[in-house]
Amino acid sequence: MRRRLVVVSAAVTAMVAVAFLAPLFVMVHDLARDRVINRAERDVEEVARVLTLLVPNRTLDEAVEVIGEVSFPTTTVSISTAEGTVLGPAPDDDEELWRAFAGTSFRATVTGGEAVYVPLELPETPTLVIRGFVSSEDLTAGVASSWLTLGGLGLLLTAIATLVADRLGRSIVRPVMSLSESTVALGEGDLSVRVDPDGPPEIREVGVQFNRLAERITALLQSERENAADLSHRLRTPLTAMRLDAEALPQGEAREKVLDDLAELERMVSFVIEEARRPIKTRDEMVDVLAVVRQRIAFWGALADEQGRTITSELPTSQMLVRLGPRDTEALIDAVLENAFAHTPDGTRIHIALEETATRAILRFEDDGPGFPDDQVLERGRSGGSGTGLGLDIVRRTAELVDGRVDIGDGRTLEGAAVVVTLPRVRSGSSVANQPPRGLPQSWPPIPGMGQAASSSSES
Amino acid sequence: MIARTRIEGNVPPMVAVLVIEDDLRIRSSLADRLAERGHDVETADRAMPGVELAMSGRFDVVVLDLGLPDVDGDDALRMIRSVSDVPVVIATARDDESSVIGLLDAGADDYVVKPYSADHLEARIRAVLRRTGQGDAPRTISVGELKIDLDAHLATLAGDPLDLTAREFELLAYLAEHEGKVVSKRELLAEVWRQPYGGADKTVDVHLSWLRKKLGETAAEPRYLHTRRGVGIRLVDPSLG
Repeated sequence: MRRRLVVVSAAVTAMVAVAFLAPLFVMVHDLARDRVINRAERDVEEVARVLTLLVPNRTLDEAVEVIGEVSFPTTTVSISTAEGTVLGPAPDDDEELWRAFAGTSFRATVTGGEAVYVPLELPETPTLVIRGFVSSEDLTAGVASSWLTLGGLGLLLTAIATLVADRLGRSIVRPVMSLSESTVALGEGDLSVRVDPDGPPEIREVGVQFNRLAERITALLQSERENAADLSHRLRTPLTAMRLDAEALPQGEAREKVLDDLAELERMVSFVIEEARRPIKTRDEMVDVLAVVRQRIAFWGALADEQGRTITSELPTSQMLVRLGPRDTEALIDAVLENAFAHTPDGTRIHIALEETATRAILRFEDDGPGFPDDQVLERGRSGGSGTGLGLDIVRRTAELVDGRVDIGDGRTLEGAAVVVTLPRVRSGSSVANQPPRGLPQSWPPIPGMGQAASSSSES
Repeated sequence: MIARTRIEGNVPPMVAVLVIEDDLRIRSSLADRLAERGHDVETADRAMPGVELAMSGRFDVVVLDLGLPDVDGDDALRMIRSVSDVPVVIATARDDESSVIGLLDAGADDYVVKPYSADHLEARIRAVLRRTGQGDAPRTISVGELKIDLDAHLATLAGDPLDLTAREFELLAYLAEHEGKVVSKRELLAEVWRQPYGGADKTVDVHLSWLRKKLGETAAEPRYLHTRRGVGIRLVDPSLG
């Protein structure tokens, strides 16, 4: 848009300049020519007047000698009689000369320039013709420089107009671009984004309306979340009564089953409340996923040892920032590992790999257990085994919240199940990446009893 | 050597409990469950009668629900606190940190998050009575060579200090307080993690694994921590066989 404005402005200004400059060029040329010819006429008339004054007292030759000492800047004066030329270069334009001898004053275009012819009748002297010649060079002297000046002015005007159009374009385009970026961010779920209304009144109004829209969406979402949380909180009261009643049931399998079912229901309600409490997405959260992976491997190491499991890992050596908060990242990794621990037999190996592409961090969790029963385990309530099945659903929702994704399938290193979590990386040059990771301790506290599994790049 | 669980402090077996709760089902069920456990229970369905009863000085502890119809639970708590130092355990459906901090700041001695069990609430009541009833007396738990100082947050095994995280210490202390009893993971989540019977079971498993490591034992060769698969965990004195 900005470029178009510049091009249109340059074209219009150039056209206006040409429209004004073309006749100006012609006028300058004609004015210069007229000025020189008029001067030639004045010079010739001056010579005629001098001759008229001198000849009654002097001979023609003496008078011509006096005149010959006078020079004219642009006019070459010659004086001719019917017998021949007495002063100046002999004209080669016989036709015009004879026309002047016939008693007519005129000017005519001759070879190499313009000439002014003035006949002069003096007492006791044959008829004279005074001819003032102006060369073509003198006729156009100064025109070229005038044209250059005018052309330069035209170019300067066009440049100024282009510059002004560019500034104007920028003042329009910048708020539009800002608005566009904010709209994209809002579309991606960043409800904290607002614009600073700027630019022309119409665009400023669009900015104001955008902010209102974002406020409205945030308020609606907040209201929905509060409703969900409130409903869930209210559900806790009848659940308490049910639990207290269930505890009064006689000891036995039925009582335990009812209590288990209640626990399941309570877990679901807690999940809804947790989800409703989850902060609305912001753009500036990030964490070094490598540090979190190492810390969580260490955390789960004790249980793995106890259950005869081996956790191996392939990790990079330098930090990898992802656009996700530290607590969410920790919860995500824990949920995948808990799923693996819960649904595979003791002794099952687990392999964790962290890879990177230009824009993504890829976390691969693999095991050599029986694999997933189907590909529906990422959906809420489908665990493929015991439990609520919320674990992998939390993983999926957490990843999708920041434009990441979760895939399941077969392992690459191990032959059981694989969960692949893809998260957007924070580019090292971005302003966010230049800040220290928030919420993550500078160094995780050492966990006694852990081997090298948490610290080297590839180990068992 | 004879070793047994010993908690300093004097908590009577029968406790006079006032339950202020507007929900009829919870009120009656809770009264029944606590009565079954040998406690003397009175109930109030609104805040004002409840506050009046609480001021009578007849109760060892008050269980106060927050969502009352006449006066907000927060205000009822402040009214009780203004004239009485009877221990108050809040029963709330909200477990977010700000709500909890607000309640404790307002004078609550402890809180339970709905849905809670009668066992859970009773344990909270006993804990509150222990805390409020013994003044500055040191509270320690001894099980065999394991000694847990609840005030100093220190645990030693045969005189050697154990390097425990805060959660591991709470877990060990809770299991030691219930020496010999099988404690379910669900109960641990509710008591130690204070989660309303939700959350991740495996989190408990991982912390128990770390606890075993630090106690120098394994699941295969347990000394203090014995797992009953599918039921829970039990802390015992190994010297008692």
